Amino acid sequence: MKQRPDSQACFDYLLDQMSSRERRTFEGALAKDDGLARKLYSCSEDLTKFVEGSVELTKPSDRVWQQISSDIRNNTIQFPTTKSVWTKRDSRRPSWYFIWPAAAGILLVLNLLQLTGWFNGSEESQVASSQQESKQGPIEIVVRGEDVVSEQQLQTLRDQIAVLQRDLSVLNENVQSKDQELEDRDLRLTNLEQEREALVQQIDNLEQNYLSLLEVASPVLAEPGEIMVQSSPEYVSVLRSEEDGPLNDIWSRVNELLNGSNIALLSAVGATRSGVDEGGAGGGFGALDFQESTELARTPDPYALAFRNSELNQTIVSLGNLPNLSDEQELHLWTRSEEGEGLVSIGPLPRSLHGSSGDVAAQLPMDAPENAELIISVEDSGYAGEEPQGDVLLRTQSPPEP
Amino acid sequence: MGESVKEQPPQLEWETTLSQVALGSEPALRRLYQEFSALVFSVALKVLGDKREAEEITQDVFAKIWRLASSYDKRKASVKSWIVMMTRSASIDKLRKRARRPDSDSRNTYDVFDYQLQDVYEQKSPAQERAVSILQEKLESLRPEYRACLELAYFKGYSQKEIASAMKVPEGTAKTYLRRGLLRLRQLFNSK
Repeated sequence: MKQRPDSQACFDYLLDQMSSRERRTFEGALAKDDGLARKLYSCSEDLTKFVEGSVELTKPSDRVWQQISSDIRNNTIQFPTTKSVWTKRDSRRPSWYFIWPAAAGILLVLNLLQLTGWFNGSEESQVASSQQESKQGPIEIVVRGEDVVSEQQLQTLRDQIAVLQRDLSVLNENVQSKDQELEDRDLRLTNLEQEREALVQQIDNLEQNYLSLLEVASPVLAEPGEIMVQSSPEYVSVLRSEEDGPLNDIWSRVNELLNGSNIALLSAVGATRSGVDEGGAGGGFGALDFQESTELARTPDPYALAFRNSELNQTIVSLGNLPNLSDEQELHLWTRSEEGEGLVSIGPLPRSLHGSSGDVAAQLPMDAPENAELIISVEDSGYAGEEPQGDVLLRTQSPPEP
Repeated sequence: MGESVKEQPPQLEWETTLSQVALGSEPALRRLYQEFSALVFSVALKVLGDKREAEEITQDVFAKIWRLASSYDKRKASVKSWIVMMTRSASIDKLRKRARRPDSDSRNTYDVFDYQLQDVYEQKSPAQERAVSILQEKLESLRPEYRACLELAYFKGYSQKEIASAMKVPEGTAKTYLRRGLLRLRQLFNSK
């Protein structure tokens, strides 16, 4: 049988919502389990109250009782029977059904035989019996005395019955109060389970929200790794959704974060095809507001945002809309070792960033100045020169220490 | 002895009466009839919506009580619940037999709720009236869809599938309504 809470099973049983197999299993359990029987009792009481509250009491006509009474007197209604209404679907008569009538018949026959003297035994045994009697003295049969004893016994029995009935009623009351307690506990448990389920559901929802936020925000807020933290091709398309409420939220949170923390956004520079010397510092300092970000998102141009992680002494460069490059080309990250000095190579960017977006954690040289310029250039694959030779794709600056 | 019987809680009193019925006491059956016949008749009427058939059911139920009194198991139900359940069972059997008859008139499921009660039971004591009115008040707070579901299951013997079809909702919804209705019922009747 499919497992269900006891009270649910009881209601299903009472409302005929069980298959015949489930019903049989339930009845089997019911015969063994007093707790389940108590539950059934309680459920049937609830349903009876439901019925009483749902019907208008209406009296049947008098002829109904007349008919019942007449049927009883005419023996039209069979009486008695041990057939159970609880197991109406299994009405096979048990094999021991006739044991009691048979036993009663045998006893009756034995009594008749004794009465007619068949059981008085042989003459010898009668003699022995009379000798025994003579040793013990004559047995007095006092008919009136016997009646008196029976009356007294009857009275005693009546008294005992009265006491037992009182005890029984007290016990029944106790059982009922215990049942009530059990029911109350069950109800409390059910309520607590429901609350727990609701809380679990809330946690699930919060986790879902957290994960979806994390997915969107991770390109910006991810902890830096050694080189490549995360590549997220979806980031570009998400950024383009101007009407996306949660995204606006994220950007405003990013701005809040940037405004008051040691991570500062220095500049976001559009693509330039000029050489190194043509460039200068990119856009202005300060946090990127949402207007700027949507402006940025609207264009398919590549961009670079730099953040500072003082704890790890790393600069995080968040890159977006990077171009697809042929196998012969790759992107290089450069910085200036000292103010006014030439550029030094930090290394090539992972190829997975080509045609995509993602974050790069860079360890700048020890002597790199604050606001060090960061440049991303397009170089031939495997290029190991000391300064950029290809076109400068992006230009930004490392943020200052707070 | 008679005095002490009167002082007993009603359930115990009815158990005693039922045991007397089991021994063949017609007056005991008469006492049960006086107490429960209105409830039996009303339940049958609610299920069948037909006064004559409801009277037949009442007759059948008390005949069954006469025959099956010894099989009553007080662990499983009070005497009243036992009788009410027998009534429901017999009425729904009759309802199903009627539905299987080709010439049966197709009664509307809810006709019974509009039944004009002309013979409202007049022998209710003030205490009984108060008890019934409290029950009715409690049931008023049950959400209509839960109550409809419970009524279809109890008074029409509908399965969850049939309830879903009658209420024009998915089966899962009907199942939920029924379970929540029963849960609410327990809360209502167990609240102090």
